[in-house]
Amino acid sequence: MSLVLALLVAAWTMVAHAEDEAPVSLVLVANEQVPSSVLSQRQIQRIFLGKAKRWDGGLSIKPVMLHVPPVQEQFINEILERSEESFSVYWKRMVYTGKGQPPPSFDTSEDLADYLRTTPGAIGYLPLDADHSGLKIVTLD
Amino acid sequence: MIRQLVVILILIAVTVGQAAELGSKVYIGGFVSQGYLNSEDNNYLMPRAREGSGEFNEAALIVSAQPTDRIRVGIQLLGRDFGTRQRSAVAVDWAFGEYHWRDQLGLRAGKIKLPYGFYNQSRDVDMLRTSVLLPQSVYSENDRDLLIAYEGVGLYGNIMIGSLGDLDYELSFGSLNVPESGHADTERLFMAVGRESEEGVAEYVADYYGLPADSATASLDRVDDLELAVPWILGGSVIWNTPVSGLRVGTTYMEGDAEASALYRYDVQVDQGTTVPAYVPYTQEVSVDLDLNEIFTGSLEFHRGHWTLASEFGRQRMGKITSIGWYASVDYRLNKHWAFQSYYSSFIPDDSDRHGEKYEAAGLPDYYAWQNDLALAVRADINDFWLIKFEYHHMDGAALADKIDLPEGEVAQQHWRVWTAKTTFHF
Repeated sequence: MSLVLALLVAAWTMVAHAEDEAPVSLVLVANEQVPSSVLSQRQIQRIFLGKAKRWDGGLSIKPVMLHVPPVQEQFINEILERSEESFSVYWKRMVYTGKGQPPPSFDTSEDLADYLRTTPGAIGYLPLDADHSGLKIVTLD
Repeated sequence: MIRQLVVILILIAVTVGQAAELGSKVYIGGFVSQGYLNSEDNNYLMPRAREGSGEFNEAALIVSAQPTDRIRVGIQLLGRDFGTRQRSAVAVDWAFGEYHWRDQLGLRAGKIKLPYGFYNQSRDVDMLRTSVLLPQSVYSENDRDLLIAYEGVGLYGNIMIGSLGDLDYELSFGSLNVPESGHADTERLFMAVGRESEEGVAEYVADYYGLPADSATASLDRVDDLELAVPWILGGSVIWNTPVSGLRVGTTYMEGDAEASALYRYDVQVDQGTTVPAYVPYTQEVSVDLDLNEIFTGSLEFHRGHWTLASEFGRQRMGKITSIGWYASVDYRLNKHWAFQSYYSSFIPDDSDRHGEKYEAAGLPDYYAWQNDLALAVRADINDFWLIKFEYHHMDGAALADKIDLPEGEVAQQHWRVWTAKTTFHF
């Protein structure tokens, strides 16, 4: 009974004391051949969790991550609605059960932007002030 | 195991070189874990647990490649030592090819991890959870070798259901190739049954020679030619990723057929003063055909922020025996270095005897009929590649404790404790 009570308290804590969200300081960007310029948050989540692999029309979806701490953390926390640890565990579980490989990761905005420009079907995110010329801006529905 | 892994590393290096030439994306990873387990009063999960045992390690290498955007191929080699189970032999843990036709439908073929509950497919990967041991009420080590992977084909996919979220599903059809190490528990069960038949064998031999029933005594010497096979298994899992962020609900169902056979070798001693031999070897062939009907789980997991709540229920029916188990778990990740978990689990090996009346009728303690487990675990991630865990269990009941290899006249204890620690290096 005490364990059930503890679980209920934990659940209430999680729901009632959600932290205030920080302003979004990143932009979703994609290769210009990507057919969609508006995506729902659920669609973005399915893409970066490896569940959606084809754009409408059949082009292969290629998600990529920007390994820059505040931007990556915000993308995972607010768009994917996961902690960084749970996102890492998710992909490790996919790898160690043979179901997938994590999205490739780039350490600089410039490298990621270059990859997006030259890779059909690629989608990622950049800081708001990064150069995203030649890329399609994707807005959240 | 180390020499085998060195050879495998060389093979992987060659494979990677060739794959790079073909331009395919290759992923290589692995881990090495070493644990220690000590259970007070009762032996648990491994033969020398009461004295403390380090026969508790795993090492794995994984190589996967994606030669096209629709095809993936991979293999994981796993060496595992868990008491009498597997004893460090490196084996193919899984190896399959996958064709992704659509998001809603793909095909896998090969040796595939069996979908059972939320965590069976990744149960051997220590760094994917806070606790050392998964709740044994649903993920019993006694069943691991039977339920870890199947050889056959599978369908999988993800289906959007509008505002209701999406579904992940897997359908499985194939056979279970139970390794020799997986026969250990079956052999022990056959031995236990064989010992119970000693009196009957002695009476049979005495009757055969026209002697009084108490003229002979029989003892089981050994079990030979044990064969265990699961020629087919059919099932699947569905996970509903609900519209509530972090909440997923799942279920697994499987059924199949299991066959086991063995030869019992008895030594029968006949009283002196008769005209028959004093020693009579007696062999009895036993075959058992069981329906694995059914294996069912229901699962729920809620993740939000630092917290993860999980609860699962499992039911297995083999032949006429139905076992049930459940657990509820709470996990808190303080930061990237520290995580804590507690779970309460309950296991009943025979649903028709929840209170142990059958055990009492056989002169055994009633608490053999259940096992309740309160666990506390702490995990410390030293860095991104090395972690250490400590765990404590308080047990009530002895359903999963060792009750076969006990000294004469001894019974397993009702209240007992387990301490375990484990460290893992991974890349």
